[in-house]
Amino acid sequence: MMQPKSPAMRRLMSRFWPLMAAYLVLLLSVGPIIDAPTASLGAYLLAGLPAAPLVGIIVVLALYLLEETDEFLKVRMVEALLWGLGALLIISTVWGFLELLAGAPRLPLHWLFPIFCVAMGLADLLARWRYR
Amino acid sequence: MRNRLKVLRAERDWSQGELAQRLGVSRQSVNAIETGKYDPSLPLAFKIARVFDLSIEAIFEDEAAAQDG
Repeated sequence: MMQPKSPAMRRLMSRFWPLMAAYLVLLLSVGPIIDAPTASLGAYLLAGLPAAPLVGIIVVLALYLLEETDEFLKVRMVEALLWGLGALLIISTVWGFLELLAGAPRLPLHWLFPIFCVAMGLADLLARWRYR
Repeated sequence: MRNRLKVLRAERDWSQGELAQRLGVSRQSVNAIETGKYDPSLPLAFKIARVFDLSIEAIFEDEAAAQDG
């Protein structure tokens, strides 16, 4: 059954999805603009542009924790964030050793945020099941 | 933490949603407290006690004290 969202959660969603859409648009449009990677300030600024909405998403998550008045929902979000961060640290560290010592292919750093989001989403699903 | 929330709610014929509304929290919160999966903070425990017009001890069981005694 779909659970009704708290006002803070509704605000989080209304802020999160436009930022995610902006991320996808920037991700798909910045690549073709930069023809060949050059180490100039302009190229750095342009290449870093898709990361701006991701910074916004972190801010939006922090705002949710400040605005959520339901202590249980807040605890559930903190748990999901910790699981997401834990999974991110474990995956990136283990993969780092695989790269260093076993010649595994390089894990692009821009994959870290999606890995965090997926891990957090899975943790949230698990929490919903646990507290059902 | 064990508690009598479900019994007290049933005595008043309140749904989880109704109790949640009276407490100003989500229905998920009431469910998690009722099933002992989440222990409420002291302010929320006081609020629950006020809603049922009972003391906190009449709703929540102090398991550590029960073991000591």
